[in-house]
Amino acid sequence: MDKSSNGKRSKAIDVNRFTLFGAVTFILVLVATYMSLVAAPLEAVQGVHQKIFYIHVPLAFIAYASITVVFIASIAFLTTKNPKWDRLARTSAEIGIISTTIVLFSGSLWGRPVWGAWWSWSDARLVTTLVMWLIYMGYLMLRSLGESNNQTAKVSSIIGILGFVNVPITYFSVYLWTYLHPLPTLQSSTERPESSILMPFLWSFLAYSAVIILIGIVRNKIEKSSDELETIKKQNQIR
Amino acid sequence: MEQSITDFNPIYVYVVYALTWLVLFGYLYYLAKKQKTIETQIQDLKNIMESTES
Repeated sequence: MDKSSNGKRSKAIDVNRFTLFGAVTFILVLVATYMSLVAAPLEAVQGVHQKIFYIHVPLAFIAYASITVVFIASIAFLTTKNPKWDRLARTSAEIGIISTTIVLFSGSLWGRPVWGAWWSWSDARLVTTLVMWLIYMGYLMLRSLGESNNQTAKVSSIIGILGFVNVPITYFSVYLWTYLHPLPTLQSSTERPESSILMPFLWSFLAYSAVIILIGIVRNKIEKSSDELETIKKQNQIR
Repeated sequence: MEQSITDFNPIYVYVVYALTWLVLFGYLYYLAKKQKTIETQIQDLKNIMESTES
């Protein structure tokens, strides 16, 4: 068998695996939505509005994890100069921005019926989360407006490292400056969450993590294909 | 008496779920389209190169 037919076969297997993972992810999201909206009990005080928790909190965890990956990948890029770390940092920053965007609007839509306000500039968790969003929007704007070279990658890595300082501030802000945002309910040492709340939460976390992994896979494919396209253009002196 | 989902106005909940799905799957669709466009460009260039070589 020649090289090109081997390549086509492995590409077909790749597409099949991707389609299968996509289908599994979609089913997971459906199950998570059923568990959150139908199976999970209504909370006594907040009622149906508490169901926003099953989107808001898993996506917040994913946002923190993505931004931690940006931090680690940026350090790895600056020390090794390997472009794969820079690509990972950029992909994770995009995922971080998407997750933080969902956290911000879901929090706002949760706050309106429960606190009576869309937003509060006095709440440290809300403001530090917005600052986190702005830092990584700046990071991505630099990446898209700056030239695609080593200098842009270096400056972006420095922003990726410095910007991470805001993550622990955001996380611990509810303990330091309590205002509207409640303390984390799942990590409370005195009260264990009931399984009727924990199970829908875990399903949601699993489902939205799978969607984010799917986005990461496609984003990585785009980076690889773009590199291939650039190489072909350079080899044939095409602009 | 047990509360049901209709006891509170669930509009905010539906908006959050709908927007989340729209953002995540919309972005995924945008990326998939972008990937397809780049792959087509690569294939087109490869075809042009093959035809000029032969």
